[in-house]
Amino acid sequence: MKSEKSFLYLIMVLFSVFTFLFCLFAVDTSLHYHYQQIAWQTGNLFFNYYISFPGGFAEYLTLFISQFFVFNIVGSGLVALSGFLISMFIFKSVYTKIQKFNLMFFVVPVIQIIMLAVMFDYQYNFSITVNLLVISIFLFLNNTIDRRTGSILSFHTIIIGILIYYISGGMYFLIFMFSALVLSLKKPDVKMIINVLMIVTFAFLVPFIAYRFLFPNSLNSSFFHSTPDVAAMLRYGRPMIFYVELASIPVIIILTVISAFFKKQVKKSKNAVKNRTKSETAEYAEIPIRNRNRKFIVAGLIFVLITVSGFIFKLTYSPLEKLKIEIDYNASKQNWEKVISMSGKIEKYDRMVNFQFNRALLNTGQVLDKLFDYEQLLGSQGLFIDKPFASEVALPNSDLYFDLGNIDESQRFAFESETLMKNSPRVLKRLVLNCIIMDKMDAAQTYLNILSANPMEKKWVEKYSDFIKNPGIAASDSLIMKKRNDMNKTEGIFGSPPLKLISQIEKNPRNKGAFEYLIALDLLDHDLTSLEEDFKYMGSLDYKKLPVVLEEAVILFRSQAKTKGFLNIIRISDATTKRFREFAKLTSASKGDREKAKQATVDFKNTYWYYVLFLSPKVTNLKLETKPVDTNY
Amino acid sequence: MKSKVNIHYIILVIFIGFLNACNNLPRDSAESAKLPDIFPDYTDLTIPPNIAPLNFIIKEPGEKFAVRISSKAGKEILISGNDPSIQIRVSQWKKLISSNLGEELNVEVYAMNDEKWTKFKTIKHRIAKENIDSYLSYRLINSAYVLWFEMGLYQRNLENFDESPIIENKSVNGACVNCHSLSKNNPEKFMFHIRSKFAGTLIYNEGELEKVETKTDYTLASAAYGAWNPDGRHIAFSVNKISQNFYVFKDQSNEVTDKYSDLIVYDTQTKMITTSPKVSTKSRENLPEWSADGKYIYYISAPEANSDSSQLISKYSLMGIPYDPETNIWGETDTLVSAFETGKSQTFPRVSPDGKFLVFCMTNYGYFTIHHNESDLCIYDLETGKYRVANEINSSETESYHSWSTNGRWLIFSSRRIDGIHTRTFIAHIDEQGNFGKPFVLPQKDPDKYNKYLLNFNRPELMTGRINVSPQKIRDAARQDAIPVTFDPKVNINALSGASKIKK
Repeated sequence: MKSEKSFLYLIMVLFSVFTFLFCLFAVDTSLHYHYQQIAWQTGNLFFNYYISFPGGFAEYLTLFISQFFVFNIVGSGLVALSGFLISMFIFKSVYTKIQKFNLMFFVVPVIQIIMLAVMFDYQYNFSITVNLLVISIFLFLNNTIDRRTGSILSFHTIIIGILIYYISGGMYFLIFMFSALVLSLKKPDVKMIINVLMIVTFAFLVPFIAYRFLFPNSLNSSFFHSTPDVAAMLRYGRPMIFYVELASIPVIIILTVISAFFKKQVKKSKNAVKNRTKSETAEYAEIPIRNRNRKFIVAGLIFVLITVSGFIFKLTYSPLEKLKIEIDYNASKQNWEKVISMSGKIEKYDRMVNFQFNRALLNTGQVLDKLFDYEQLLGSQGLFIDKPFASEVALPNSDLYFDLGNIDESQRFAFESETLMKNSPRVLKRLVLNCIIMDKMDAAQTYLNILSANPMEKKWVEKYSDFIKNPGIAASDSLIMKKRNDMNKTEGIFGSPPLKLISQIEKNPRNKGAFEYLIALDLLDHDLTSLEEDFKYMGSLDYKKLPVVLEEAVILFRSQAKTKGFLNIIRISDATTKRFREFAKLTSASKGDREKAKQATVDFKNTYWYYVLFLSPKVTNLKLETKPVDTNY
Repeated sequence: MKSKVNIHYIILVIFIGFLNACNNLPRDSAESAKLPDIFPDYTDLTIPPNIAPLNFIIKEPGEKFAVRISSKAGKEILISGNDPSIQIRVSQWKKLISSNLGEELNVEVYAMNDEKWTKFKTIKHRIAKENIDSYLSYRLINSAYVLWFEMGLYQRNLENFDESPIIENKSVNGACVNCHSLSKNNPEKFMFHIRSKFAGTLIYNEGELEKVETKTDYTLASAAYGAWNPDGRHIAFSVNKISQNFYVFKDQSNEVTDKYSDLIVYDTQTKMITTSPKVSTKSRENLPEWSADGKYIYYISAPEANSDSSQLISKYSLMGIPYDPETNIWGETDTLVSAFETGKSQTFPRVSPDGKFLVFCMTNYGYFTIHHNESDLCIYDLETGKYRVANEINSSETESYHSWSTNGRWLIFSSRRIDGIHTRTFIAHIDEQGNFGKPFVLPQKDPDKYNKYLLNFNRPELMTGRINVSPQKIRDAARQDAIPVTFDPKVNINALSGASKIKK
């Protein structure tokens, strides 16, 4: 290694490679794309919207860049590259402030780790990274102008700051102004104090003037806008790593300046700075590692860096969260077997996993065979997530009703989703499909026109354009045919899930999915009366034998209420009868001790009996905690 | 020197050649007897002389296109090129139509295929002599029913394509802003509501902005649907307990219903609301509208909702009651169009400024017509007491909220006729006898906008000019605490409505 600078670059490159690989194999940017429904579009309408408010331009740029997250390998490369560039520009901006590289070996690569760690959260919006990249580039530019002009008064900083305010928004403007201020600090004199006062004044004035006269946003947003005003960000919990990321650039710069101050190794007069040439600067920076002690120090710092990185990963990386997103992703791709197998890997109950698991059973025709393979701890609230209605359930609800063939409801929730996830390819596709199914071709064309402005969706658009141009093609498409056949009855008051399901079954008695969900609903609600009533719909369906979950329910209800005539005539298989006897024996042996009985019957945890006795919310009193949304009336 | 002259000459020739290439009409063309297929449907219209250019897209197949727009006087407009999107310069358009009031406006469309030009049948418009109010306000909102995220009230200059926000809800932390209303289309007197965060009613009254809370102990809710008295002082409101139901009726996604509703009148000077037992009954009085002289309130009324189904399958009659805001004296109620007689529901009454006509929506049930594709506009002659369905402006899709121009010669209204889902604003001429011209959609700079725009133009209201108060000032007023209004102590009824929850 010839110089410390080269060595530092090598470390940065190594960290970039690590970031790339980790992102590729452990993060998967296509999950970000899926979860956030990143959608960049061509056209003036889209562009004009984003240039109409501070921070919008960076959002536009981010959408353009992060649309490539759909390809994991490209996305991982972009994440690694952005971290590298931010580190490089920060390094280039601050290295004139410090002669020794010791601190640099620690602080510069740690930026890359932070930029990777934020990606562990799938709600993280990449615009934050892009904005930090914008700041780092402009800091470098600002510093270059500083050095070249040697001017004490930083008018250029104000101009660049205003530009950043418009491109990135209030928070990034403040970060830039603060960082530039710290970097501009020199030996105190009158001009220096005037410069500080000027930067501080403008740091306050620019957002205030923008608030007062230019943009109708709130004062808080004018000063501290840091994330896009998109509905997905409402759910972003702003974890500690988010604040660490925002603070990273100014903190590194402060550390650098403090380090320089204490070591008293940066004592250049104004003239010296002014007269320094580029070659001198480079020479000045490239001091070879001089002795064995320094090598130990550097090695120690790298060790600390790796330890800190590990600590950051420990705090932020959650394979479980990734798995949940993967389940959602696979559900959207209709990889139902994967959904079922992945759900089994989730140890702690999760309502959305439960919901997707149930959807997977619905789409593979296994609801009444495997319903209790996942703990249905919220009962029927894991089947239907309409209530309480919250923004995050809009699209999954649309998906479920689409599965069931209730296109009216699917469309209703797709509209709600479209409000929250503007231009989302998934939502637009759903709207197009629903409109085609409902034979509303003009509206389908409107949505398709918007989707066609998304470069990632050209193939899909091409396919469904043909459906719209030639409704005959649509009419012969198997999916469209099935959904049209399953469509709900279109008149009546269907306020609750069972009524919606019944309306569908009455329209199409062969809608097996609707029937199984109806029965599952009765079972999960312990609603014996409705179960008996709803059994009548079974006759139109081709069940060769009674599904095992139904057998379990019938034998249980039969054991509890002997008078149920209808249930008594249903034949239960010997295997189920035998298992039930064994279960009953184990529970009786516990002599009323519920916990003991639960332990004793744990082998039966996939049965309806276990659900009724130990897991059902009617027994556990488990309540769903969600925040309902405001309603628009 | 010589070479310089030559260069200038060449440049000039190229430039002239370029201009000719751009604006020349084909010399030889085959005549087609059919009108060209264009979007939006801008054919055979009566148009205001101050309307923005009617930009359109030629939907006919072609490699090149040419358009000539001409009238009796003034310089014709020539546009040609490869782009079927025809965007007319505002200044050229203005000159041409403003110098041809009352005359025909001819639009000739040419399309070239395989080097052969076709000239389609000339589109003929009539340029009316009467202007339309120069501004339009509306709310832009997504198609959702329950959720919202971004929304705002906007004003659009109808003489060009300028659109600017009156308020966007990001100013009020994402709250809902709705139900804006003006006094006689006067931009100096307007109001709107803010729901959820920073709740209240913001009233702009000739330079003064104030936010009031219209819910009192004696009213069942905050004020909802409002109508300014032409005196510019009083605002009539309904107060409603609203709910939504989904997919109740065939092909209708949503039904908005009220369990209760009453009428109130708010005095902007005394900050007091009043009512009468006659308009605060167990029946559901709703959607007030003042007569042209400001001494009569039109409204709709449905019987008491005893059950879910009676709430849903309600039919509203068009009613009226004399009311003098100066003396606070109420007359007797009168039924203008009875739901029992029509078998339909009457809603959204809007009176023409000359007091001769009242336009309302007629639908199968309820009053909130935007989701009713059977909803049609009807015109009621206030002199003869007769109404008719205005078939000349209706379509198979929803026709809903409407607004008159101050001269009474233009009606704008909401319609979903373009794609069946998204609400757009249409403009129609109306003559002195109450006959409408063919309606046309609000022109846009990009004529393709409606084909790729998912926001709905909600509650369009014409305005005589621009609202000259900045969005920043409106934001500041909106974020203030609302001033509570008082309830008229002389109203001797027990909390307005037999249906209301009473606190006295």
